[in-house]
Amino acid sequence: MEGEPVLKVSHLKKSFGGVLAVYDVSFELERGEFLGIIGPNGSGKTTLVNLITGFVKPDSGQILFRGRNITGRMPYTIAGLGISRTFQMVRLFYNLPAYKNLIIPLCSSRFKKMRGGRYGERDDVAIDLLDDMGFERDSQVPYKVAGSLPHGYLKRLDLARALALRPEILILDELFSGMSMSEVASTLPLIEKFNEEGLTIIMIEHRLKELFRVVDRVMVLNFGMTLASGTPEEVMESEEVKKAYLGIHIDLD
Amino acid sequence: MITLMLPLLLIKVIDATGVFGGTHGLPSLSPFPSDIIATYLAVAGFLCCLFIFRRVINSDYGLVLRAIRDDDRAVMSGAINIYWRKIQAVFISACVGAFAGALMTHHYQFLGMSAFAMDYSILPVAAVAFGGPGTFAGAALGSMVLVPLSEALRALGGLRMAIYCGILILSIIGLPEGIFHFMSRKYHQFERVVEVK
Repeated sequence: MEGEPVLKVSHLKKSFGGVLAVYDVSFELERGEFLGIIGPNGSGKTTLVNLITGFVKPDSGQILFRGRNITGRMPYTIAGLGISRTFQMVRLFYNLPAYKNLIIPLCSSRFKKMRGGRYGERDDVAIDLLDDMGFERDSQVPYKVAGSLPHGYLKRLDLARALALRPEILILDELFSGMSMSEVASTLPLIEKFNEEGLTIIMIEHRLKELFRVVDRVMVLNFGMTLASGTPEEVMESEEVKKAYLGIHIDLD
Repeated sequence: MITLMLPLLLIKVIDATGVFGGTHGLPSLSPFPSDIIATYLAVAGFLCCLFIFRRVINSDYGLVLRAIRDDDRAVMSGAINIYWRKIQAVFISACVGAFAGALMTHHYQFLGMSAFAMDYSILPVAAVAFGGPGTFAGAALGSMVLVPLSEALRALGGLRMAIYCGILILSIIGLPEGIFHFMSRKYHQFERVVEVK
């Protein structure tokens, strides 16, 4: 763990009316780290993601990305700097063919910059990206209308959309929710592979077994506050976490 | 809303500052050589715009614009500055509107504050709502019905706008989706003999 953190969140606060959604959350993220965020429903996980990606403006606190202050910047600016996210409820364009959904990030100036000032043939790039994501190029799947695809494919399409910008930090907001066991089993290695290639990932997840298998560090949120942070084993040892969240014993094999 | 508020603002600005002839307007502008030329120019301009717009909307650029209309948050997460794109969209439509306005003023040979009257400002919005939002054919169809309708009602004098608005209200109740969507839905409900290979 050397060098400056790629993402530094300090004393982030946000309340909606009288509800404290996120209260004084601070953490740092090293390059290439895989952070898991868990917590009961309504504990502020998604709000934290919205704060980092600029969809919600914080009341106070600071977010530094590679030493640069991105607090309260517009979502497209933050995405353009290299923080991509997926949505808990997938936000796709269901009346478009699947691969056309990827055209949108490919129209961004970030993508143009990465390609040396040229956009190139976007359709081809989109099909390539989907091929990596398990949408076989030669099958009909990438060309089907997104609305006709099963849920697991939509989640992976959303992931492909986030990855199309070749981000430095990828934030996955409950990627596996609603996915079947086999879909999770086929998607998890993909995410692990991206992490091994150096992508920094923040993953919010309710499926703890899958989460604990891949993450380096876990942060537990409850009522908008950090309850515990550490390796999966350390976190599971904590009595507070057991009480607040799990209430049951989880066997980490 | 801005479409409707802007004319009211401009009326007051022209009234107060006296630009463009103030309350008198700009009379005796040069007319078209003949009505036939004026008509064909308008139709050609319309078809040309429709052609260009169709090409634009089916390009990747148009895809982004349509996506912004559907879900701007999803587009923002794709690192696209939606406000800049929206400004571009307004600019493109303003260009077409300005061209149509230029045709109209030379046809009427007069330009004044009456061009900012409510029935002009409401017409594009009403035509889209009547014809079917989200389609080119719908907007074109809507104005093809509404403009002749408003001219036909001119004979009624004072009640013209009242009847016009009444028809609009009825159409919104009866055809909330617009004529174009209604017709395309009905078209797909026809039973047709389809050959199965």
